[in-house]
Amino acid sequence: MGWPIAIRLWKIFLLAFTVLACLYLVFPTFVILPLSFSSSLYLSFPPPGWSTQWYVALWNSPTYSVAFLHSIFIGLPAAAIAVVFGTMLALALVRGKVWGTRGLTALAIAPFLLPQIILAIGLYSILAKFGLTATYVGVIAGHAVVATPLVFITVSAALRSYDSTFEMAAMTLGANGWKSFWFVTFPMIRLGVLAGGIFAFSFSFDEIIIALFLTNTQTTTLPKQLYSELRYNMTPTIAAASSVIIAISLLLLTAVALIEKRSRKRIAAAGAGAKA
Amino acid sequence: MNKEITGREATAGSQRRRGARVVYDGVTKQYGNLYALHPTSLEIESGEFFSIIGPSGSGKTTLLGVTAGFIPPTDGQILVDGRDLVGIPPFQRNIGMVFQNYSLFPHMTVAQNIGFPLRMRKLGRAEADERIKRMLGVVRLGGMADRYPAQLSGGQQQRVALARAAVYDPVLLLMDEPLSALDKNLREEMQREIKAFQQALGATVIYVTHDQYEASSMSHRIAIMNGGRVAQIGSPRELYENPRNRFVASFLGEANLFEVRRHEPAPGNRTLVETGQGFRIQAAGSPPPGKGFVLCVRPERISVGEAKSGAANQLTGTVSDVVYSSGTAHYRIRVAPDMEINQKIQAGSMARQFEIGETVHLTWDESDSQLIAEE
Repeated sequence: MGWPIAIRLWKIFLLAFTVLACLYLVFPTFVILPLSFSSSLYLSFPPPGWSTQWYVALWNSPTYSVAFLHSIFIGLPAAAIAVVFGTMLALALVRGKVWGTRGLTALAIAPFLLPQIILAIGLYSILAKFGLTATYVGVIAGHAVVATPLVFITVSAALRSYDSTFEMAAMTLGANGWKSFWFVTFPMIRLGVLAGGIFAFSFSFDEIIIALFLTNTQTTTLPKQLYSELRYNMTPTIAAASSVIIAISLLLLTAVALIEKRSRKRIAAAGAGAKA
Repeated sequence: MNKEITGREATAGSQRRRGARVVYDGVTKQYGNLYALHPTSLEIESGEFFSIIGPSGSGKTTLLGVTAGFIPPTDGQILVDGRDLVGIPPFQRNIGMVFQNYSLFPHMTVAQNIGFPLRMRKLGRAEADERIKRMLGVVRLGGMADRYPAQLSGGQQQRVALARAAVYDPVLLLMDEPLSALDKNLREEMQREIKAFQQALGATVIYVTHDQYEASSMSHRIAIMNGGRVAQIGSPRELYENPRNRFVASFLGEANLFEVRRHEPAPGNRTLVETGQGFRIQAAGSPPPGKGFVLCVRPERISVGEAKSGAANQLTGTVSDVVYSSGTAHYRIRVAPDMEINQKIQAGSMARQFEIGETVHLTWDESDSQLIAEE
């Protein structure tokens, strides 16, 4: 009411555009959802009827269950390694006085930006020398390398949002480097560390290229299992498994969003405090 | 809020020692060929409130960083009660520091913040609690122990920062522009509080600020820094009345500076100066030794009004601006195309007010013309 027609039309246009853009971004992902509830024996769209049989099949399938556990047992240590190295990198490059910070920062992000197929080939040839290609060690190392930049980026952002005088204050008050990290820096960046860890796990949980190269049937992950099922066994179990992966990813993303909301509030509080 | 901290509250139940005597001996900081701090030597007495002022890049922050231990000096010694600090890491120096943004840890309560240095020193629980409680009393935040910094006002945070920096009886308190984030009224109140706090503890304080009024109102002595060197050290009054060079004269307070074109001695130990504008001005005394000097007249030494026949110095100009603030009138008077004179007068003592555009006569004594070295 009261708005000129032109502005109202423009607002309607913007809304429609936004809705379409969102649909474009998420629709292909969610097409899989109705398929997973299909009563058909094949992957066909639209489903002829509804059923939860494929979730039951998924639950009862030993291969899927094992692949799911593999994904967890690979994702957790990979994320843990990425958290340690990513946090250390961020501390060194954001807080430390290191020569060539810009170049090193680019290097720290590189594993995530470079084609993962090349990393996979490289890792494969090195790990083959040590006979580690089909072990947990190989794929965990590969995932940790690519996930480290994710932690580095979130922790760097968390560190940059605090003035370095907090650490200087801790030092004048009698805390050595380790204590000032443990009692002052870490509590202030721990939400950034947690978010980075979730991203790292989420990456490993979805990753296929490195898994294709560095796992075998003994260590196969959920995405790799899906990939091989697609080639031999086109049943809606695939859709059910995909839906589970989507649900877990969404859950993790939501967790990150909640963490970031909290940390924004804390930073605002700390910042407002200093300015008030 | 306005109750001052008393010495008795601060010292109750403790045996305080006086602050340390601090001696800087040839302290230097070089980055390549660039001197952030030229060799600097100065002595700060036990219990002294010592301010360092200067424009940004003058070396005051470097001097503070070197003292706290964040910046290793290239050369020189910093002796605190005779012990050299150089080479000792910041966390073993036992110096208290208050930062510009207070740097209170946002995830700790007021009591935890104040207790942090005690925890780092592994002080027993009972004694730590006792000290925290006493410090909270000194800064009058008794009821705030369990609040988080974000729940406090700026002035309250400032007081927590003071308490935290002093709770472990540091040998020396450093303050880095601690009041710059506060608004003007609170700043003046906190100036009195910090001064009272310092006196109550008997602490030696090195206070860095860019605000000369803040430094003047709080300090025993001030060091004015410029270009990585100490330009002059003295009490606020000494610095204002006897500035050693042009920089000090113009940095501290307002100064009307005349370039000197020619000068000649006059009878009665006076000097007759011809300024760049062609004015002939009399000054008491003789020019300072060294290369070149300027003539300086402080705004409040000039009277404005009708022509006076007997005045030693007299200039005629038109009022270009007048600002009235808290009982003082500030005039700007154009006396030459390239020169305006600042003049200040207590409103109550004015014979009459002058309007913009009015022609006025400025007069002052020869003893109020200071001859000040360029360098």
